[in-house]
Amino acid sequence: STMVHYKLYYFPSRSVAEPVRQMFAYAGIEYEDVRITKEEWLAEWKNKMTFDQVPVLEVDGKQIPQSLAIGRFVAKQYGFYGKTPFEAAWIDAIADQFKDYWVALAPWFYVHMGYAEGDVEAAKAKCAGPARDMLFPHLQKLLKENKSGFLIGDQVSWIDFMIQEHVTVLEEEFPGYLKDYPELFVHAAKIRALPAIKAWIEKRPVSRG
Amino acid sequence: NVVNVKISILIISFPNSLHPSIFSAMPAYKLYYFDIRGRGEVVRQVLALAGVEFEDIRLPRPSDGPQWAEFKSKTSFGQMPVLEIDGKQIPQAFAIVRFIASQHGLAGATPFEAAWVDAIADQWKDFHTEFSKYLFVKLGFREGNEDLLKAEHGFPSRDNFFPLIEQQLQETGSGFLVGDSVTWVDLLIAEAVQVIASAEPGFLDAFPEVLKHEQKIHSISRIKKWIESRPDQKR
Repeated sequence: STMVHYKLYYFPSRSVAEPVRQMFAYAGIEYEDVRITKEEWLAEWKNKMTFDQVPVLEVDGKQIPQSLAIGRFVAKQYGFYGKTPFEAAWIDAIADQFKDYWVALAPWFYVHMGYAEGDVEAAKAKCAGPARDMLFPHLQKLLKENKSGFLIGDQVSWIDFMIQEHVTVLEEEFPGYLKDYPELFVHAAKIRALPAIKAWIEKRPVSRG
Repeated sequence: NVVNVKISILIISFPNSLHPSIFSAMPAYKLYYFDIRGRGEVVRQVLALAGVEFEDIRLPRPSDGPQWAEFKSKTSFGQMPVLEIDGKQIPQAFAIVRFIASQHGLAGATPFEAAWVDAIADQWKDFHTEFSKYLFVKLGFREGNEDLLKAEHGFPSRDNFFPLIEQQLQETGSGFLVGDSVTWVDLLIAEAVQVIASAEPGFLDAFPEVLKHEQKIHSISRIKKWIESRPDQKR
């Protein structure tokens, strides 16, 4: 059988590329983990990428843009998309809710990380609570109701990797933000402890987020 | 005694495609959304295009009635649209759309094509997040400086997004955004184009393939029929 050749293009950080890297690690799939610095991006790469954006997944030379589209593609190929159409719909719903939460959180997050100018305390006062309320009560409910310890169904899925990565960042950058949602820390620890993920975490390049 | 007997005749309409449910009860689909097009319209159109019967439940805006305040805590994410199937809910418009579309051949013919349907939809979402800062003021839903917002958000987001769509249509050459048959992202983009072009005629004139695409998609007979039957709303 012919192996598919994958190249994942992103910046030298985890962020929205990390769930894809984790799915590849868990499924034991080889891929080129191409990390592009900011200088290289503007000088060389931006106009090679189909929507002038990264991440991009190249599949036998053909590009797929948009991190969630890439995530769904890889999830479907390697069994991280639930066992039924209903489970797949819920995985989709959580991914899209996460994106909406992220849009709400970004004004604060970007200023905190130094990606944007602004008053970090003012941004926090405006964004932090409403963003959190959009997502974490629902994730907490799912974890409380699902005996498996995963978010959806009885096996690890794409959104387990997605949520775990973000909760890890929140632990590092905003301790206390999720103090009312201890189930999310239990979940993150569970996903990080999966052998293939533990091995990946130990060998992956270190980055802040 | 005269006994009045009321006979109800249940008419079962067979789906156009052979589907396992043909020999069992059709699932009861209920779509809950506000009485606007908004994020619910693409869901309604996918259901219409797929030929799926559904209850199109429209709640008044919170300022016009208590129904949403009462229903909100019963929804999975405190939001709409939400699809209820035999009592179980799916939240998030695109999740609902993918659920229906993938079961009716409307989500792309291959995994790679499905990824491109998803990518264009998410690119639209990013565009809409920016563009709506101008559009909602233009449509009168929010207060704001229309000219300033058009300059800061309207033009830049348009000029980042629609060239990609124009190019995509030129590349597929099929008249559809992905592959050679209609997918749900065709409905999404055509709906957006109709809202924008009627809010501001001429705004998308630099994108002739985009405008042709809107005409083509909205002349698909099930979509045309849906548009003719839906309430007349600006968005």
